[in-house]
Amino acid sequence: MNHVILCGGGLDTAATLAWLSKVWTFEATVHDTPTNDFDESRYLQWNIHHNGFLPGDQLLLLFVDYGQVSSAMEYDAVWNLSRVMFGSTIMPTHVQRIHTRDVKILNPDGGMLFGTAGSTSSKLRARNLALAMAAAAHMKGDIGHLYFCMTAELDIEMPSDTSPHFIQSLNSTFIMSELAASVTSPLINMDKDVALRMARAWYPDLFDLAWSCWTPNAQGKACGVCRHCVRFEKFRGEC
Amino acid sequence: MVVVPYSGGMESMALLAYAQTIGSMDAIPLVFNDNETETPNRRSAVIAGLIEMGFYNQTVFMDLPNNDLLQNAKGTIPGYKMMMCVAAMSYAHSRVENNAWILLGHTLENSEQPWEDQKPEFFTRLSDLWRVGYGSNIRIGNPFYGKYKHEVLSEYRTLPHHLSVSCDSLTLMGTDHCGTCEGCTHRSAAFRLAGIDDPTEYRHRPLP
Repeated sequence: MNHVILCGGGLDTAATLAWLSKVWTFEATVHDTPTNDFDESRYLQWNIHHNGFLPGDQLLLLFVDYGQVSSAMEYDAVWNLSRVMFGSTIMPTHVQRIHTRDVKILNPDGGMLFGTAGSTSSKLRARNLALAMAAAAHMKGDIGHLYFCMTAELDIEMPSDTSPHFIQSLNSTFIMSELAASVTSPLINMDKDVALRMARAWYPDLFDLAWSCWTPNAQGKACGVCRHCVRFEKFRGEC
Repeated sequence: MVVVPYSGGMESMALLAYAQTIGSMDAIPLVFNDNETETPNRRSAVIAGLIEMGFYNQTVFMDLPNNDLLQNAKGTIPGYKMMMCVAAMSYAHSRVENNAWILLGHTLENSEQPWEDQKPEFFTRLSDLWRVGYGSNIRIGNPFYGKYKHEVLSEYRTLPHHLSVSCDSLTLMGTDHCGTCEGCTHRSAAFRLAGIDDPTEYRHRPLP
């Protein structure tokens, strides 16, 4: 059974991979979605009895490169996070970079799921559905379990493809299409600051490994002024 | 807005006619090009049908991955139905603000197949998924789901079915239907059960 994690390299990815590496086994907890009052000791205790992969199971981290300016830094962040959190169990073949030019379902007719056909915009329309379809096409239906890396959004505006309801709907359609045994986002019911605090307790250098900036400078440094950078530094200070 | 994923088959033609009967004169046929080897001949036949039906000028051609790239070791393409629907929904979403219909030509034969992604519940959930995630109300309709293929053919018997395409291996055999594949077999049976003379040129007459 494959366990495919869609990773963007940001703080949600960092928190989710930390969670998976510490308390999640790939056997029976697919639908566990802890809330803010989760009992860490219970999960850790549970993990003692279920640690490790099942024989024959495969872990894959997929990064989708759809032309975003910071794709190189995001991909590096995914790789660095996975190496630190999963250690020697992660090999280069376990972290795969999908280019949208190779997965045309993401971009039929030159830009249906993107901003505007033919434009240079790298903003994904229908982003999380597009990412899931990219994973499905890349894996040719051999996904097993598909994981998104999301935390609860306090200021979420509906409709949203980062809501628990969306993930549930995606789960049911993927199951009916035989594209996956499940689709889930394990930390979607946990606030971002709680998730990050938990993850940083396990991995103190978490914020040095993740990447959030969408508009890096020519030297590959975070701009420090975009809203993603501001949020990144805010959480670094709080967590 | 009504979008009809158009394969060139008999049900596709009937869907365009159906769209006209419900007042959607601007139905948009969506023709997927997945770069299969048989595409050139199939596409010629599809275009001929669309011209005859009067829909060619509003047809949208959409590139999709080569089927060979998506096939798994079993020779199937998991989730192909969902990929087609998502592509069509994405197209509709990019053109309208709120309401759109995607019409599919599933018949009772589809309901008798085991796949969950051919059942009405799947399309309802897919519509829900889009509404929850992206807001627009794009519904997927299967107006022929309560009928068998030959009943649809009988109802829409005046359409230019001699220009419709059912053969699974059209290019390999030229422009004629092969007469031996599953598509040809079902096509021939539908004409026979509908009591309509089959205008199709078969290279090999399908077995009854």
